[in-house]
Amino acid sequence: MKRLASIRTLAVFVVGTVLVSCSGTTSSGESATAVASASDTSDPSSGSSALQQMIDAAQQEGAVVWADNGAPERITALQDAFNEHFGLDITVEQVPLRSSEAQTRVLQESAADQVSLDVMNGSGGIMATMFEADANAFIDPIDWVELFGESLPEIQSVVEHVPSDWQGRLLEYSHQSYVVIYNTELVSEDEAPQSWEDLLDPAWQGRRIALDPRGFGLNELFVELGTDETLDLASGLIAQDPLWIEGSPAIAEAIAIGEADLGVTTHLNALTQIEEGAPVALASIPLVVASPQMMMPIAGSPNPNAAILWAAFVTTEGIAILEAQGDPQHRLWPDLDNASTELFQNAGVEPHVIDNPDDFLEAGRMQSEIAQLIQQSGVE
Amino acid sequence: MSVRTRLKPLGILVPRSDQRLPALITLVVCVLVLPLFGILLLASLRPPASLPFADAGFTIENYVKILSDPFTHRLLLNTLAYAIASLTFALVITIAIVLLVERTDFPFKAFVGGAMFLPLAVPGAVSAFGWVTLLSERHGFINAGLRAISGSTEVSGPLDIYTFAGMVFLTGIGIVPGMFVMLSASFRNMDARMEEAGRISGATSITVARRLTVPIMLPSIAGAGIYYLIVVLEMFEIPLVIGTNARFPVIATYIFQQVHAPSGLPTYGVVAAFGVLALAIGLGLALVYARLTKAAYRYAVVTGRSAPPNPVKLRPLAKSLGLSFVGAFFTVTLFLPIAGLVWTSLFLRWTPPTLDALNHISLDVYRLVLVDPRLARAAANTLILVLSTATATALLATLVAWMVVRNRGRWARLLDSIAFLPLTIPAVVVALAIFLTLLPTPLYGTIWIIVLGLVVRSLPFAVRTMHATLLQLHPELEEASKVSGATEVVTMRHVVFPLLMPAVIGSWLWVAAHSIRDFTFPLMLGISTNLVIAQILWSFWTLGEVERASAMSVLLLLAVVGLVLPARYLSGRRHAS
Repeated sequence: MKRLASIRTLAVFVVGTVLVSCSGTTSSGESATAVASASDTSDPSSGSSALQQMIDAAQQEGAVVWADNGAPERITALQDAFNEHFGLDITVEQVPLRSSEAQTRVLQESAADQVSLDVMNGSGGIMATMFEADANAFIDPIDWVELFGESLPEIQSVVEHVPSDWQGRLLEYSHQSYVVIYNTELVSEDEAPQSWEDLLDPAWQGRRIALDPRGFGLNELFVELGTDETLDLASGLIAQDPLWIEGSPAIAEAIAIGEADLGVTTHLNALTQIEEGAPVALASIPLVVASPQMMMPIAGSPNPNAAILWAAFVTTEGIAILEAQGDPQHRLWPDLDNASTELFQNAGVEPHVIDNPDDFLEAGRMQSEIAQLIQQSGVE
Repeated sequence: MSVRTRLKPLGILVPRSDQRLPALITLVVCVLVLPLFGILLLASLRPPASLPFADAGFTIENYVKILSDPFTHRLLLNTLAYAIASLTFALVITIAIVLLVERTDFPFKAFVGGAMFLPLAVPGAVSAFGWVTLLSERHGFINAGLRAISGSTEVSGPLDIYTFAGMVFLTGIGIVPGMFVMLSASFRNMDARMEEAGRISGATSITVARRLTVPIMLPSIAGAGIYYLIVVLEMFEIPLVIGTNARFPVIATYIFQQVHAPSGLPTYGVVAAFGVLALAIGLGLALVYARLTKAAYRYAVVTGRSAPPNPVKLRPLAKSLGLSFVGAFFTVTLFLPIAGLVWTSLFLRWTPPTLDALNHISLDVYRLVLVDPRLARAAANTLILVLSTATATALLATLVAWMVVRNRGRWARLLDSIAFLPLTIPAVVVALAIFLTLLPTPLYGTIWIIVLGLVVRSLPFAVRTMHATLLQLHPELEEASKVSGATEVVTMRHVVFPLLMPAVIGSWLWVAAHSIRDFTFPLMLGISTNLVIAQILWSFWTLGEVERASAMSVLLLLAVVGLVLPARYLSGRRHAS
C-alpha cells in the first residue's frame, strides 16, 4: 500500500511538473515600433522629418544589437562613423553569432515575443528560409530611398538589387561566391583545375583538396549544372578523401600554408589571402555562382529605429569603412569596379548571380543534402 | 486534523518531519531538472519541420526515423566503440596517477593535484584544434619536427591525428583530469591500515594495490567510470574536429550539427527524440551504478578508529618510473598543447616554429584581444558565472549527496536518480531544453540563465564526487558526535565538513574550470547582455582567427591557474592539519 501511495505521489508530481513546463507561458515583451513606416512617406518632403524623428528615437534607444561574427575592431570604426554621420551617441553591441545561428535565434525569439537582436546578416538562402518560416520576423516594408535618399545617396542602388518579394524589408550588403583556389608553391598553373569536374581527377585524391563538411561551396552550382549533376559532383568529391575543414576562412588559411593543395572557399577569403601576399591563386573555372548577402532589421527588436539607421549606414557608407578595416564586402554588380570584380575579370570568370527566392531555397536544400551525403559517407 | 491526514485521501503523502529536509532538497532539484525533460518530450513529439511551441499536432515520426535508420544504428555502434575505448584508456592512466599521488610518497603531489585542473580550462574543441596544429599531416609542429630529425623527404606524416586512435587518445587524456578529481579524495581518505596489513603479510606494493586498494575503491572507480562513460557517449568537440576527417561520425556530432544547422531550421524533433532515447540509456546506466553501490557502507574506510594515511615509500627506480609516467602525461596533456597555443598566439599569422621565427615574436595578438570592446563585459560576466555556478553546485551537490548517502529513504532514491538525469543527455540538448523553457521568461538574456544551465549540467559530477567521498565516511563518526550531545548542525560543521572539504574544494574547482571553458550553453543562451568569454573564443575559431583564439585560451589558462593554485594550497594545508 505504501509503495502504491509513493508511486501515486511521484506520478502526480511528475505529471504536474511536465504539465507546467508544457503550458508554454509567454511574456508580453514590449516591442517598440520604428518611427517611420511606408505610409508615412507618401509626402516627398516627409523623408527628412521622418528621418529626424527616427534619429531622435534611436538616441532614446541608446544602442543597436548586431548579430555579426566578424572581427570586433571593425565595430569601433563603424560605430564612430555611424554616430558622426547621424549626430548620435549610441553603442553598437556585437553578438558573435553566425548567420545560421542568428536565424534560429531570431525565429525562436520572435515566436516567444522576446527578440533580443536588432539586426542580422545572412545569405539569400537564410533570408528565404526565414521568410518561409515566419514572415513576421521581418519589418513592415519601408521606403528606404525616401527616408535616406538625401543622407545616404547610395541607398538607391542598394534597394534596386533586393528581390521584389523582400523590397522594403532588407538591404543588400555584399555578394558571396565560392571559388577554387590553389597554392602556387604546390600546384602549377598548368596543373590547376580548369573545371569543377577536373577536381575528380585521381591525382587530387588523399587530403589534397580542402572542403567544408557542411556542404558549402557546391550547393549553389545547381543553377547551372542541375541538381542531380551537382549531387554527383559532391559524391565524386567525397570519394576523393578530401581534407574536411569547417569554415571558408579556415580553408583559405589551410591552402595558404600548404596544408592542402587546393580547395573551395569564398572569393572574399581568397582575396584576403592574395592581398596579404599568400601564395594562392584563383583557378580559372568559368562556373562561379554568387548569392547576395543581406542585412535585415528584425521586427519586434528592442531598438527598432537604431536598427534601421544601422542597416542603412552599413550597407552604404559602411562598406568603405569595412574595407579599410581589412574586411572587404564587395558587391558583384556589373557596373562596379572593386577588387572582387577585378579578381574575376583577371581570371576570365563571370559569376552567375542568384537573385530569386526560389533559387535561394533550393540552394539551402542542396546544402543540407550534400551535408547529409558527407555525414553518411563516413559510415559506409 | 493535521495537514498529513487531510491530504492523505488525495494520495499525496506529506513527508514526516524527519523527511522534510530531504523532501525540500528533492523539490529544488526536481524544479531545476524535470521541466527540461517535459520540454524535450514535447519537442520530440512535434513534426520534424515545426518549432516546438507551434501548434502542429503530435507524432512519433521522429522516433520512427531514428530507430529505423541504418545510419543511426551505425552511429550508435561507432559511439559505443569510441566511448569504451576512450574510457578504458583513461581509467588505466587515472588509476595509476591517483595511486602514485595519493597512496605513495611521490614527490610534487601538490603540483600534480593543482596541474590536473589546468587542462580543464581549455575547451575541448580548442584542445582538439591545438592538437591539429601539432599533428596535422603536413605542417603540424610535431610531424615537421619528426621529419626534420629523421631526415625524411616525405611531405606529410609520420603521425596522423585524423584516425580512430587519434580520437581515443585525445578523449582519453582529456577525461583523466576530471576522473582524477573524482577519485583522488576517496583514495586519499582510505584507511592505511588495510594496506599496511597487506605489506606486513609480505605482499609487494603492486600486489597490495591490485588486491586491496583497487578492489576497496571499486565503488568509487565504478562510479567515475559510469559517469565518464556517459560523458564520452555524448562528447562532441573532439569527434567534431577529428572525427569528420577520421571518417568516424558519432551520435553527439550528428546532434550538434542538427542543432546548429548552417541552413534551414534545426530539426528540433529529431534532436529531442535523441535526447529522450539518450535519457533512457542513461537511466539504465544509473541503475547499474545504483546496484554497484547498494551495499556501499561495507566499503566505508574512514571510521572513528581510522589511522591517518601512511604513504608507501617508493624505491628509487619506482619513483623514477612514476615521475617519467606523470611527466609524460603532463607533457602530452599540458605542455605540448599549451606550447602550441602560446607559439601560435605570438604571431599575427600562422608561423612554423623555427629559430628565425623567434626574431618575429610579438604581443600584437594579445593587444588585439585586450582591446576588444566586448572583453570587459564578457570578463565580468564570466567571473559572475564561474563563482555563482561553482558555489551553487558545490553547495547543492553536498546536500544532495548527504541526503542520498545518509537518508536512503524514498526521497533519497528519487533525488539520486533525478540529480543524475542531466548527465544522460547531450549538453547541447540540455542547453536547447533550457532555451525553449526559459525563453519566454525574464530570466532569458541574463547571466543567470547560463548559471542555471551549468548548475544543472554540473550537478551530476559534483554529486558523484561528494557521494564517493561520503561513502567512505562511516556513520559512527556522526553517531559519536550526536551521542556526545552535538546537534546535527554542529556535527556537520565540526565532524563532517572538515572531512568533506577536500572533495568540496575539488568539486568547486572542477565546476569553476568547466564553467570557464563551456561554450555549449553560452552559444545557445547568450545574447549581448550576458556575453561571456567562451562565446568570443568560439567566434574567433569559427572566423579562422586561430591566433586570437590561442591568445584568448592562454589568458583563460592563466585565470584558471590564479583560481586553482590558492584553492589547492588552502586545501592542502587543511588536509595536513
